[in-house]
Amino acid sequence: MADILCPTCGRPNSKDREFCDFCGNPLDGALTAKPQGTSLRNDLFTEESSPDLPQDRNDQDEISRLESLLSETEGEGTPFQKPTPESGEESSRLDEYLPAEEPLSKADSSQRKAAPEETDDTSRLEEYFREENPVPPPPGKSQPQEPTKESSRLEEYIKEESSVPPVPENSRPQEPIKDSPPLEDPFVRDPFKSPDPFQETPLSGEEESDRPEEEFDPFKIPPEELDLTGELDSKKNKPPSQAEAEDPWEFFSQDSPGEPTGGESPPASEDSAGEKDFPDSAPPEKSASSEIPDEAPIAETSAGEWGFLDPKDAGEEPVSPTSEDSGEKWDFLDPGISSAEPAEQVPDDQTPDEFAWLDPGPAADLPEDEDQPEFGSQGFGEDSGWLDMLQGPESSQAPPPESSQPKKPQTDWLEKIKRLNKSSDLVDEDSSFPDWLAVSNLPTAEPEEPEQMEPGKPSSEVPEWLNLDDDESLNEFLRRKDLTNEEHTPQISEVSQKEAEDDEPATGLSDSQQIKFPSWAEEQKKKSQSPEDLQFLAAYEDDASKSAEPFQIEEEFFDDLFDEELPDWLTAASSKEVSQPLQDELAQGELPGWVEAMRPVVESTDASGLAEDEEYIESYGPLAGIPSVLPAEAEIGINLNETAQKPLDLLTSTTHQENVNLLKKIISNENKSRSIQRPAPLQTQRVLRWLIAIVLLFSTAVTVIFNNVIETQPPSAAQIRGTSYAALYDQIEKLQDGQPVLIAYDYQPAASGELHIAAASVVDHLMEKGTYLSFVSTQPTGPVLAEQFLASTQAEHGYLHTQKYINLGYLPGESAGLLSFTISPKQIIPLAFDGSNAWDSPPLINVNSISDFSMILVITDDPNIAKIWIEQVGTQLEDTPLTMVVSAQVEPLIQPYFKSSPQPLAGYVAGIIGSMNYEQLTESPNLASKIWLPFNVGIVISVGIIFIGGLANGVLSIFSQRRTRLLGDTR
Amino acid sequence: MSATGFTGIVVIVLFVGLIVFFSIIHKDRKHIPIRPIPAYQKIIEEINVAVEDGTQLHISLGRGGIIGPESAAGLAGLSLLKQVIEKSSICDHPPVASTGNPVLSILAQDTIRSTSKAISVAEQLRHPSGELIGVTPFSYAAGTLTIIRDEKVSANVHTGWFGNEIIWLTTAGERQSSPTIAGTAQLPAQAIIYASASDPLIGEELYAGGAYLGAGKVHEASISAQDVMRWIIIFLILGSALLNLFGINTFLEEILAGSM
Amino acid sequence: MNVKLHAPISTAIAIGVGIIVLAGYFIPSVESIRFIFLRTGLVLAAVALLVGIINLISVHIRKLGGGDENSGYSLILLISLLVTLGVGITDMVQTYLFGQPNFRMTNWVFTNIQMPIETSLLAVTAVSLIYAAASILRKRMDINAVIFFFVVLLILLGSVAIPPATIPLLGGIRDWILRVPALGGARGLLLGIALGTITTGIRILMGTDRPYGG
Repeated sequence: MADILCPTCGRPNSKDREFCDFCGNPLDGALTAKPQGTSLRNDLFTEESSPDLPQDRNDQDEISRLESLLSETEGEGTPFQKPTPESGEESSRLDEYLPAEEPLSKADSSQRKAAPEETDDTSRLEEYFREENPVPPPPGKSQPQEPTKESSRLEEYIKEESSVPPVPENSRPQEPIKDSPPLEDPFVRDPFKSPDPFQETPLSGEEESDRPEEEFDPFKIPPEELDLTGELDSKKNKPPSQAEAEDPWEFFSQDSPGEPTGGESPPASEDSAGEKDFPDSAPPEKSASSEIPDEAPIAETSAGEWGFLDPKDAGEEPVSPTSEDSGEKWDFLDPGISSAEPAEQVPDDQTPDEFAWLDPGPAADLPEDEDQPEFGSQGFGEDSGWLDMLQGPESSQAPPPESSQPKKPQTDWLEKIKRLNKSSDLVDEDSSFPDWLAVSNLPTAEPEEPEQMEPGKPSSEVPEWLNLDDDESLNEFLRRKDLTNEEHTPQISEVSQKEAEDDEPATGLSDSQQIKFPSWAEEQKKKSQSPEDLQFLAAYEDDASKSAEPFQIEEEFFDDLFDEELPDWLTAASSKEVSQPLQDELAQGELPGWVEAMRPVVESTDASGLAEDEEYIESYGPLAGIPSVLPAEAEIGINLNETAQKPLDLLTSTTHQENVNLLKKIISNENKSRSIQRPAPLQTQRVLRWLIAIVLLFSTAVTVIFNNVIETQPPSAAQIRGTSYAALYDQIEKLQDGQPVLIAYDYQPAASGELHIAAASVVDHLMEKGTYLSFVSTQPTGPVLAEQFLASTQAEHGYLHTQKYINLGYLPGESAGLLSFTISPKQIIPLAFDGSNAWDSPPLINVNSISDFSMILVITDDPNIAKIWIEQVGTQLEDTPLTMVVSAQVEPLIQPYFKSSPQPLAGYVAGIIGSMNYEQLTESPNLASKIWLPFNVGIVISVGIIFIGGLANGVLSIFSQRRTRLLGDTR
Repeated sequence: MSATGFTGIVVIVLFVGLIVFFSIIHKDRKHIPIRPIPAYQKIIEEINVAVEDGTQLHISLGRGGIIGPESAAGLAGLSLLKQVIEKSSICDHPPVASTGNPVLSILAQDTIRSTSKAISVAEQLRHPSGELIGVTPFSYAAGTLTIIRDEKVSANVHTGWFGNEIIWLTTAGERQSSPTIAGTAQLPAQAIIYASASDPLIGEELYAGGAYLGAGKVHEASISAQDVMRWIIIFLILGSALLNLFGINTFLEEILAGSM
Repeated sequence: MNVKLHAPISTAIAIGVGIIVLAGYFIPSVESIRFIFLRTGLVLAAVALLVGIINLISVHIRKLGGGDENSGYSLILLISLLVTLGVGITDMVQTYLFGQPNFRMTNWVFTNIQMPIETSLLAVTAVSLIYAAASILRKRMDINAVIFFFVVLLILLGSVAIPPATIPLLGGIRDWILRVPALGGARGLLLGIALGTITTGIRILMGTDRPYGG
């Protein structure tokens, strides 16, 4: 135990030391550390600091103290809370734990006097958040919620900063988590981007006051549940969801999602401090709890955790979530009882005097209220004030307006804590608090009464158990909390636990509790496996310093630290406030010793192995003077907008910077819309088109108008030898009168202009030979074309239907139909185009297949149709010649069939040129001779246009390509 | 069995064997190396452009039926239509198809419906395009012009059986400043396409659309089989020329005569 | 359980019929079966024409109802179709019931409306072809286009038979081009098309390509 705290490094030194053992600085002016058990809070803000209280606490006192804690918060607004003078004193004791939340304390009125200071602190806290949320908080919002929100926001902030999920703190009750869900959202989702979380999620006083009534009716609780231990147990074993639903203070837990799952109810201030005093340490715990999705197992686990404390249950049977079992878990709070008596009997063992003030009456809601003190606004206020100073030195420089003493820089934050605690007093005044928490429901204590409770003057009205050292009891709670945490850790995988432990030094968010687990809780765990739990508990209670030595060291350290750090004026102020009414004390922004004890800094650095950081001594913020801590400025008070850039500026190597630049470049390129240069569409040359049309039309029209039939000389024998038209001529010449000839009109009407001219002379030749013509077509328009052909070109022959020719009509099925017709023409086309019997004519009676025709003439403009006839029909013919009249475009394709041997194609006439040759051969000018001149003129004109246009376009294309190339080079 | 029939059976069996063989060979290969055909690359580009611009592709399948030599061109067009629909399924407007043959029209609508159903494009299921535009070449061409001139059509793909009327379709696309990818089995129309279309498909390129648009391994294997058969035909032509040069041409003449 | 039977059934039918028809080309004994299938196919093709016309009518009716910008053309098409159909039915009635000769009204409509229109369209096609030939060097300025351009000129000039243009050398060049390079190129293209046709048919017979929605 150190007696003197070094003013420089804050480390404890023995009284006889003139220089600090740690930093070597003189200890002149150093504060004398209070003995263990006296907390800073006791010195400053409570009248009840009782250093004389024995270290060995009475078990009964502990239980009663706990119950008093619970009942005070629970029983607000309930008849049982009517304070007797005794209860007033007790509540003054509890103020240490529930400084701001205890509404029934008489100090409330005095705390209201300190409202300006509190408001200042609150505004300071608001300023802190306003830096990131420029929207100012609504002035009309209830004060109690704002600090709560702020603290939860701060927690969220810290959580985000630490990015370490919280670990459940089983020692904390769950109920407080629930009552302010609206407050959760802005912080959980985006605590710093929300324009004004205070506006966004205001928890109206009506909501807050209604919720407990709706969700939990304390009057419904039967009187037998007034059994505090039983209530505690039932609360502890209550499923978290239920507990949360009943808890008006749930926002604390929601903000720190993984927080308490256990039902143990440490002092309220402990819990709040546990949340806010450990911005660095809490997150790892919460993460563990957040990994526990199922709530029921958590309750079981929490019950099971404490089962080892129960001699009946330890290591034997699973802990049932009944109040009985839970009550047994709380036996550790009463070593004398826990070993021998069931937990339910604990209340019975209490003297009525001790619990008279705790008697909530039939309306008391012990399970719920037992946790409420944990989230007392005072505790919050403390934390908020404490954390408020983390935002930066500027904010911490604001002196409390009422301080008349010269301020020391290292105690500014304490001032703020104090002011924040005062601001938290507004919570009590605010109507947004549930009625059952309302101070007004309680008879206001006389101001004189708290004044009688001087620190050095143990009041006879105070029960003896309340004279226990607060820190002792709080340490006890902390131990239990550690125990609970340890028991929870098995729920998490060992790997994750290991990782959490390993990560803690890296993140700098060490958790003293968690760190303590391996050393202390492991032993407890081992002991819990054996039926000697009670022995352990007894040993633990009797020799807490031994069982939790690291913790004790930490607590001592901080108690001493804060005691020594306190300036005189602060001490005087605290002594004044101690003399104030009880409610004043409750609302003070004190930082309880147990809260300070929960600070993980000293032990965490030791445990986390950050030996290299031990030389570092925090000289700023609430951790000022504490060695081996990570610098708070690096994580808190940083502008979030700059956080993303700072590491890049400070930590990046050249390679990293290059990668960052590359990434930036990639991202910036992604944002840029890249235009795809498509080739410019080729514009149509309308002028050329119109020019071609006009020139062709004009030239052919003039030629037709002034056209005379060109007298042509018949070609010589040498010229016609081996030609296709000569072969066709020969084939027709072989035909005799009346022989059936099949003519296929397989062309489109569009080609009639060419093919009618080309076929006219050939058909005329056939008619001259007196053959019986049969028309067929694989085109739907073919039959009509045939009729139109006969009518337009062969009208002079006077061919009549069914007499000299037959129109068989349309042959569907294209090649397949043609093949079928080749095999069996009578079956495929039984009727003629006009519906008459197609095969009744004498020339066709003997026709049973296509080979029975004397000749086949195909008129087509389609090379494919010509090929079909050659390949599908020509191969089926025996002696019947297959001839054709085709468009000029088909000639190159059918020419090989004529040139080959044997000849699938016996002869053909191609286009107007072939027809002209045929006419010359037959010496009977026909249509081809009539249009010969316009046709040739048209060809010449076309050649000229193509040549000129082609050259022009070629030159333009060359220039265009060159221009494009030049443009590309320029770019 | 005639020599032509025997030759035909040999060719068919050889083709099937080659396709199966190359399908097995290419089974584990992602892509076989095939020469790039700019027209199919253009189709893929235009599909992407249609996706970006919210336009649609027009696919005209020609006027060939399914019974006859022209059927292959129509079926190749249907295969390409299927691939384009699958690849442009995320387009705001699905591809529009047009045909000039009633049977092909039914098949086109069936292809559109089944493909759209497979890729869950509901609009095509309700009103599949592929209607019969006209039964004659120029009526079909004239009716297709209204589709080409539609502002929503960003590119035109003409694959199927076309005649001279293809010049109408290609010049209409040029007037609309929209790319035209065209291919047909008719030789005169191929000459017209070469002169007028921005991206022509010449010869057998028309039938290779499936391999270039990712229709499957069999399509790629059929390309390889075609190449093998092409080399076989080349050697046969050279051999027959040599045989003819030396006066030993009886065998080929008998095959050409259809008797053996 | 939803089992789609139509896909495998239709695929099996397509493959089976295709193989039989193909075999009928080479195996004489299968030719009769092939003939049956071909007859059935012809009937179905004719029905398909009717289906196609009905589809055409429905499409244009939908365009009319949808306020399409080309709805006017759709209206003209529907009116023309109905008028032609009425004329055809009237001619059929007169021809088959009263023995009137050869579809007079149908011939009149064909001769005076359809044929001039289509012939004019072919004439316009000539203009388009000339334009395409003249602008080919603008589309692609490469060696192939240049060859194409000059071959067109040579063939056209070789086709001219009027005295000032009847240059014997041009005629000979034209014939040579048509017989040798043009025919060789066309044969090569046809061989490639034939190979493509075979592979397409085999893919359909193998069931890889199923244009019938199977």
